[in-house]
Amino acid sequence: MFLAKVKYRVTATEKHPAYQEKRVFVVQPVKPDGSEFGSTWVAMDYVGCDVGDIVVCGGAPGVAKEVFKLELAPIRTLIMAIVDEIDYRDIE
Amino acid sequence: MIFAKVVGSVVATQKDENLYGMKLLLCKEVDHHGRPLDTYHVAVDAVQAGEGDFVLLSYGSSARMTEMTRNAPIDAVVMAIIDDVQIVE
Amino acid sequence: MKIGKVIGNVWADRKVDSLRGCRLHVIQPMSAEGKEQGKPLVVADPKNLAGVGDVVIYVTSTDATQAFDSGFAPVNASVVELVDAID
Repeated sequence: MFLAKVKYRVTATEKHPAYQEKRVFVVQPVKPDGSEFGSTWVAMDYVGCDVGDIVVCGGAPGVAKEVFKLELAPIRTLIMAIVDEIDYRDIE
Repeated sequence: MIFAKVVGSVVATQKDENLYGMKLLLCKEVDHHGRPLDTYHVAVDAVQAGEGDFVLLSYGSSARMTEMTRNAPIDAVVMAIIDDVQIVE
Repeated sequence: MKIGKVIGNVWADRKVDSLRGCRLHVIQPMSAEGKEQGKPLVVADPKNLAGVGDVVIYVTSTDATQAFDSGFAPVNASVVELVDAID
């Protein structure tokens, strides 16, 4: 999984059935010190995050299917946890 | 699998219920000579690793293939603590 | 399935139960002609087939877990064949 900052909320009315009543956000990968890097991802939330939160994102084939108990889940990246605190000592 | 060094931990109270009781480790990827790369991963700890440990990390759907992470919504797991790597080139 | 050469060993005492007794190697992917391709990676060797210097066939992603009898192991690459010759 990777650390990211929740940047924007995506809203849509016309969507795939698997996306009904789900919240989709644009997330920006960040390093542990909070600095941004790389390009943004679109991720589906199921832990109740909001714009501005630092979150743990990830996903692999089958994960979304498991989480949402769906037959078909065309969903890759999920927001899995909201970070309260990162305790780390970096190495160079 | 990739080599990584545990540099810390991530605390999250609001998370999927299948993640309760699991420790999330912040790992920095290293190459096979142990030199740090500039990539960080958040991985579930399946072997009771700690900060400073040199570990092996498995990613993707394989990460759910441990008793602890079975069916958990994760994509990275620390599955071994490395004692030594010998490279003959 | 890909070709690689075992260039090292990884020693890990503490690992998940499904990997107990399974060797771990570092391999350098290579072409059939023996040319190095890409960066070295870590592979599991569930059948303990290979040693340093050997040329092997390995599988990646979901297929890697299928190399274990249980079909259940947290690995991304597994050795499936010890190559005698490519001609």
